Amino acid sequence: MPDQANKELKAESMLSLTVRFLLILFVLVASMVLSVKFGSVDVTVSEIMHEIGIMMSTGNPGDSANSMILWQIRIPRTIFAALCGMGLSLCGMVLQTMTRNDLADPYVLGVSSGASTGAVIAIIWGWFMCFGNYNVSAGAFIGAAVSTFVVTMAAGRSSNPIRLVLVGMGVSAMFSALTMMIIYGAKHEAQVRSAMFWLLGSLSGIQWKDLLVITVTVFVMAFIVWAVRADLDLMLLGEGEAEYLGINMKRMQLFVIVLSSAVVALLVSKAGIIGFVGLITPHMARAICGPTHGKLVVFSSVIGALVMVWADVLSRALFAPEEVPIGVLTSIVGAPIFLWIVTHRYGEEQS
Amino acid sequence: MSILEVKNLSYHVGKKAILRDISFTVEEGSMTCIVGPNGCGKSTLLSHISRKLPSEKCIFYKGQAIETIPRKQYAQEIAVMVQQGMGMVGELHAEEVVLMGRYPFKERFRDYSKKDFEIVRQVMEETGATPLRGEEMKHMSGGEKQRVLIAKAFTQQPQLLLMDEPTNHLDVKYKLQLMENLKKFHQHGTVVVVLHDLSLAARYCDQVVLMKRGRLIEKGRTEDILTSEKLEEVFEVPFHSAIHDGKRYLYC
Repeated sequence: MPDQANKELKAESMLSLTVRFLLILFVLVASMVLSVKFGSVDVTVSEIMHEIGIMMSTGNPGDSANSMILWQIRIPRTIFAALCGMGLSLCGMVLQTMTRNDLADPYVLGVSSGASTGAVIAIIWGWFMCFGNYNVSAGAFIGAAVSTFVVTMAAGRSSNPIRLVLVGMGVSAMFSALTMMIIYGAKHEAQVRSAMFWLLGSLSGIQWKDLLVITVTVFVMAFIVWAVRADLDLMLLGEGEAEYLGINMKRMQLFVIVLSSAVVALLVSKAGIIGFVGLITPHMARAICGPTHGKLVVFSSVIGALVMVWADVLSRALFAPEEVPIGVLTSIVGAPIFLWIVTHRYGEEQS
Repeated sequence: MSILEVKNLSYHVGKKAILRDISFTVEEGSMTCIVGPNGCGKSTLLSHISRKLPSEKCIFYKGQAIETIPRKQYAQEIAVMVQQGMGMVGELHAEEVVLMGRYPFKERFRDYSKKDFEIVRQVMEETGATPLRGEEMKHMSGGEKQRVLIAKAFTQQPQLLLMDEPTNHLDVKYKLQLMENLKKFHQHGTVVVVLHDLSLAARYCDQVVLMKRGRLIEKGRTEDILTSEKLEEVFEVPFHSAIHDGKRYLYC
């Protein structure tokens, strides 16, 4: 009898989770369609559906002016926003799990700054040419990996979450300064402009072939995280407990560092630094589906994407036709939430 | 046959000797209790056995130096339950934590099996953790958390169970339930447990390791070791023992 009740309880909660997921997915898709509508030229939803219909049936974009705007500019940009949100959210999630810290996020920990330094080194000093067209991404990856490594080492085994954030701040400041120095030391103005573009952060100008790489990377990351969901769950117990159950903590940490660095690096090299999305969206996901990673990876992905799509809409709509850099917008919303988490969760125990 | 053997284990932090030349064996199927005053090195000894601290080639499990045992095999055969603070675990539900005890038996990339869930259900029932099943760890009291961790250790179905003061925070009811569970477990497994409560040790354990200031004072059968004279020597307070209903009680 209790077994029966147990099963029913489980089935019920699974059902409600599926419903929630479908609901968020629906809102995400609807938001993406709406997001495509926003811009200097008015396009109605029915026109958007019409253009998508043409694409679906013929496999080619139509030849109207709208079609050009939609397929060359707006649709790739919206998809890019969703992928960025998904990727950053997943990175934030695994970093929070690895450090067992609510405040971890690629931006807060200085991973994004490290990535930008690496990217700028590649652009201005011309390093990492051995990676061909991917030299900027490779530079960003190396920068991201170095900064994550430095943060993890400097924070040590301390369980104090504030310490990790302070270390992240220091590393972030160091890499930002380094980036600025390299930019100011550049000889060619074209290089400077190119480097500044990455630093300010922007979703515009994304091309389909970049999108393909990003799509594959972000979804591969989601799949990998899903595959090791049980191992990540165990990391929540803390280093000691996880080791007793047979987890190689050092290897897991290295794995998380490499994985999140790769994704952050790719996103930073295409979109610049976008802060706080990775911090907040995993918390929103946890509130909906709990902390176990099998569910969390799904919900973090869709919520990250949803938040980012709306951030992009706002960045275009707030001061239209001027565009607010996306990183500025996410920080304006994200930083107060970050402060709220600090004061509410950690304020008391420090004093 | 001995399942665990500690040979001449010493451990220093700086110049301070925490453990001095500890040697003893644990027979398969026994229930061994480590007893001694605060700071005598009980927990440190357990940390060495659980590989949290280096074992210095002094500790052997079934004749094999424990540092050479693969992680997965170690976790399948030896369960460790210690006191420690937990970080983000707060949002996990009790059942999810207990299920993690099955991790060593799970195939990589696979989900936990039906059998795993069945074991979890059964162990939670036996350890009195069932009412806590759907609760988040952060809303639990110390004793409730302890019961969840105990259930997790039993869920591993180990051959050797290492526990550091498992009765901490527990109500009398759950203390006795735990000891009864350990007794049942030790019909087919081996237990090494650090206990503060000497009466519980006297009642349930068949072997005692008595420690003081990093030294092993004596090791042997419970009735030979937990005597008022020896305890007085180690704890430096007068002890009395009384027999009531065939059970021995120690008090001071």
